[in-house]
Amino acid sequence: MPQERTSILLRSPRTVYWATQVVAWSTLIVLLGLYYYQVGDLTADQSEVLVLFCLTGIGISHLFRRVIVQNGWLDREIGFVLPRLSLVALLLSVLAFLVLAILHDLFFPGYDPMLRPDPLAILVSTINWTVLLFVWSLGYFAYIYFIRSRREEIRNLRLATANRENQLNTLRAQMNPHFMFNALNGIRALIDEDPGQAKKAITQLSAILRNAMATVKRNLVPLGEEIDIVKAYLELERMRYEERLRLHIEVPAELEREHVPPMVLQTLVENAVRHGIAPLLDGGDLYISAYRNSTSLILLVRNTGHYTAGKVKGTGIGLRNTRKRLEMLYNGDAHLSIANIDGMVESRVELPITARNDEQRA
Amino acid sequence: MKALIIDDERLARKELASLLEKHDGIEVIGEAANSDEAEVMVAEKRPDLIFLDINMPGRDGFELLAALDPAPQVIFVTAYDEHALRAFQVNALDYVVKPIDPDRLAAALSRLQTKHDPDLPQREILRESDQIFLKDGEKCWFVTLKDVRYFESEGNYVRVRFDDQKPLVLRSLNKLEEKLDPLVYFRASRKHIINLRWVDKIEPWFNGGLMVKLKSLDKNGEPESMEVSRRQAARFKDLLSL
Repeated sequence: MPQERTSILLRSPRTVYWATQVVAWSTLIVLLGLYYYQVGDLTADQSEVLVLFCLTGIGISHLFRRVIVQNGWLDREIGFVLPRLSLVALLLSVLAFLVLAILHDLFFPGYDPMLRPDPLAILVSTINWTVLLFVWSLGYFAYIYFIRSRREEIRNLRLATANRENQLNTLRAQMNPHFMFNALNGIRALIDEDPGQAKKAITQLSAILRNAMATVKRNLVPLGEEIDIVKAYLELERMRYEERLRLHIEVPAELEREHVPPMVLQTLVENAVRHGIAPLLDGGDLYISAYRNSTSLILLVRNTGHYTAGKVKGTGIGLRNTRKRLEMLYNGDAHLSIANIDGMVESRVELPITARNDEQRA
Repeated sequence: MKALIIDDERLARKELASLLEKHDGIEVIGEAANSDEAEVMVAEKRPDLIFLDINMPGRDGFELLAALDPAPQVIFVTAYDEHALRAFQVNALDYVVKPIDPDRLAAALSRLQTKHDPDLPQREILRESDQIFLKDGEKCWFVTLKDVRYFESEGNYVRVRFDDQKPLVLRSLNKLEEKLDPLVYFRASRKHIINLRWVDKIEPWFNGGLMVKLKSLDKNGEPESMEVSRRQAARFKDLLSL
């Protein structure tokens, strides 16, 4: 089935390459042999010559491949590559002819020598080789493009799956029932104590819900938007934890138009509150900051507490999911780390500033 | 009834207190913001009833409850905690969810045992009618002591046998012995404390010891039985001859 073939193709390209080489060239000489047999011309020396031809073909075409790969032609435009392929095919065809002829004359001195001053034979042979090698290179390009497109397709599928998974996780995280019901309970009490505050809390809760519905479909959002949601979330948590949750948010205004994947900051902040500060009797401090250097945008969340990987139930999923999203969105160029620094837990996300990011900013 | 509210969120305590104002039978005698505060207040004020949040900084609600002997009556108050709710449903412990539905709260209050134990503040000894709270993994039990047939020591843990349950809890058999009513609970050996009400037969055993058979059956259909060490056998006879 196509799917199985794809997986083999993707698993070990090197093996597949060599297998294809051997099979293709062998098939070619078998076909030639059949042709000679048909016309009654398949002699013992013809067969041996065919084997030599096959080996030469594999060697020379492999050389061709090196030229293609080392010059990076796989990544160039077709208009750039085609003339060069033709030229190299021509040069290599001369080499192929010479190699085959020398080998032939060395191994089979009894046969008609191939190296003889017969310009017509040399020309025909060279043209044959040129066409053969050119076709070979087209086949090679087709093969590489096929693999690349399959990879791309799989990558897109993975991204789509992760996104959908993330949409669910985002919804689940933002509608985190424990958080929601506690917030509602707090609001119920606020209605008597401070109706104005209660109204504000309902607006914040609405913002969070609306955001959960809307952002799940987007890959990137402006940092400013993400910060707004984080603030709404934190205000609600402040309603519950009061002076036990001490907030310090410092995000320069000029960074608010940078693009970040939604919920990355939110996930880290939530973890910091739920697993870092909530278990502390006297509560703790939460610092959120962001800065930009020439290559990256860095988001920092620091909180009182101590982080031990895997110790707290429930932290794993959010972090794992976030890492997966970063990996897929940025092809491994984004980093997320959590460490204990100066008696605080520091979560750090480094996002590369991509052309795409800059475009969107512009 | 004297009630104590235990929740780390001020607003949540306030909300519950205001809901309880409508119930004349309930007098809120204090509020605690964490388990440590609560433990002190329970010891000082001896409430008949506690409203207990589960998720709290420091020791959680379960840990607090396991430290209270005898445990007052409890109504758990929780926002949403799948594990806890499952534990409650299995063992029919009473709980209300936040935000609290006033009708649901009234129903929970009406199910409470109304009897008030006037000498509760003075005594330290656990009686047969007292309840203890046990938690083993995800499961929780509120068990009345008279249902416990025996306690069995397993290292630093004690296995508590009642009904068809046998949770393993982190307690020491010695500490437990100090708290249990000595007329009902007898330290048979290093390994066991037996509830004498469950004793059916007593037979002589090796080395001057005794073998006690209980009214309950083990899984093979035989009476549950355990040895009384020689050292304890004499005391045991005295106790029974009374």
